[in-house]
Amino acid sequence: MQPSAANRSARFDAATEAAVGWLVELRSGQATAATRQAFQAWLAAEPSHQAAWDKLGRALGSTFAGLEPRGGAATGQGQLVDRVLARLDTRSRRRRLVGGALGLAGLGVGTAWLARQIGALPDMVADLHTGTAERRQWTLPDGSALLLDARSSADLDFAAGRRRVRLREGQLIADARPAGAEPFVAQSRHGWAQAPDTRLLLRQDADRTLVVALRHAVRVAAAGGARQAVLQQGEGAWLSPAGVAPADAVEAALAADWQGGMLSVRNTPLAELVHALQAYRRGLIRISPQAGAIRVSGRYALDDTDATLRVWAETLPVSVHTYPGGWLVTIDRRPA
Amino acid sequence: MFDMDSLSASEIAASDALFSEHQPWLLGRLQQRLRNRAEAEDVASETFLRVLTRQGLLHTLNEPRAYLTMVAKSVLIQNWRRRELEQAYLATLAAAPPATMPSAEERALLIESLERIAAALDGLSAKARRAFLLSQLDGLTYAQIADELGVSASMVRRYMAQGLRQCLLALEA
Repeated sequence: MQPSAANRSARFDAATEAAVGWLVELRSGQATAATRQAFQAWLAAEPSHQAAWDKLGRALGSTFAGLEPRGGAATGQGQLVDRVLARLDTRSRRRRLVGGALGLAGLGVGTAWLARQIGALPDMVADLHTGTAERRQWTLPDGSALLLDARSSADLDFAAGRRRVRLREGQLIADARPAGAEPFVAQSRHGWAQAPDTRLLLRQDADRTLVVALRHAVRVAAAGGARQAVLQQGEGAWLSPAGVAPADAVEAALAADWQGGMLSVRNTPLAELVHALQAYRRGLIRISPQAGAIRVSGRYALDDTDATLRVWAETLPVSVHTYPGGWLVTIDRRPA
Repeated sequence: MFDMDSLSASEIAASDALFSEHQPWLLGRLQQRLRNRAEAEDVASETFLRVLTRQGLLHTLNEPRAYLTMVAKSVLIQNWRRRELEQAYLATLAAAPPATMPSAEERALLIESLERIAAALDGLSAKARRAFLLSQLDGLTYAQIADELGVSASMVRRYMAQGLRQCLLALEA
């Protein structure tokens, strides 16, 4: 797309172009009282001016909805957004190159291959993975046991005496038996946990990972972080780019309940519960932001998602609509 | 947000028929291509959701499977884009961790905003986009932006106008 050619003024009428010009002027940081007066005069001169000005406001509002223009460089939100988009540029360029070579031809073999190239489907090539509503246990080469939650995947590295499990998606519980001198290491994108003899839980969210020491002590560290911490039995910690942070004691105590097919939460946004339930349900679950923000405490069945959805409809201020066939569920906040 | 009430009873019946007749086919096709059952299920459901929310369409589909394939393709592409955006965002956070990490809810909202901004500003040069965002979101003056980008203040004005026009184009699209 040719930037300036595409958005050159030919597309817009004179009033819209004038509105753009005025906003550019007023934002400069050098607008004087006289400038503002002149602007007010322009705005009042014709209804079309006011209409163009309103349209520009709507255009900015709909583009930047959800982000507050706060002013002051201290917030750095613009910096952040720009850095993300700049990073995306590099990735998209790569995708376009790959896509160009393939012609991006429909749902063919090409797209699966393409997906692998851009790393969009990490678990396709993982050593171990589970599907929807499937929990599965494996015995590892050293005799340790590994349990994966639904829609989870992990890679194993047991070469040269190593005992490593890398969680790629979802969550795991590892029951590691003492074997030789090598400690058992479980890692995620955000850090690692290790111990010679332990039972531990690892749950990888988008931006951080929860570790819980279920038996004996576990040593943990965030990826790239110098500081290590030791969790005693029953303790949990969050690993993230910000380092290691202690997890809420109740949250740590409830975290492993999925191994028994239950989802236990205390004071947790409903949106997070939906995320967990989705791993156990083939149809889509859609939740509105208003309903997603509702805080919930309780114990819910993962293996019977219909029952759980019914319980929510009965006990929470939400309406739950299930589509015929169950392929779509929508959850919305019930009008008071 | 998806609106259940916007569907009539006959549309619900038509969608149910469409679903039961073609869902296994679409799912099988997706699964074969993606080799990931969970992802295939999500894409299939999202595809039906989109077909369903395009009103009036249900009764007039001549070639439902061709249409479903087309929609599924765009769902896949959008999923990749979103994932790329999410990864770019997380990588940016990891490179320079902020003092307080955003919560999961804040993050989801920001990713949504980022999707809209990325779509609207697609086509701006890297410098124009940076100039526009620094003014719009961080409230920098043109003198400050000119300084940061190493360009003249009149160039910053031109970038600003380009950014505003992009937003107008996105509004009309």
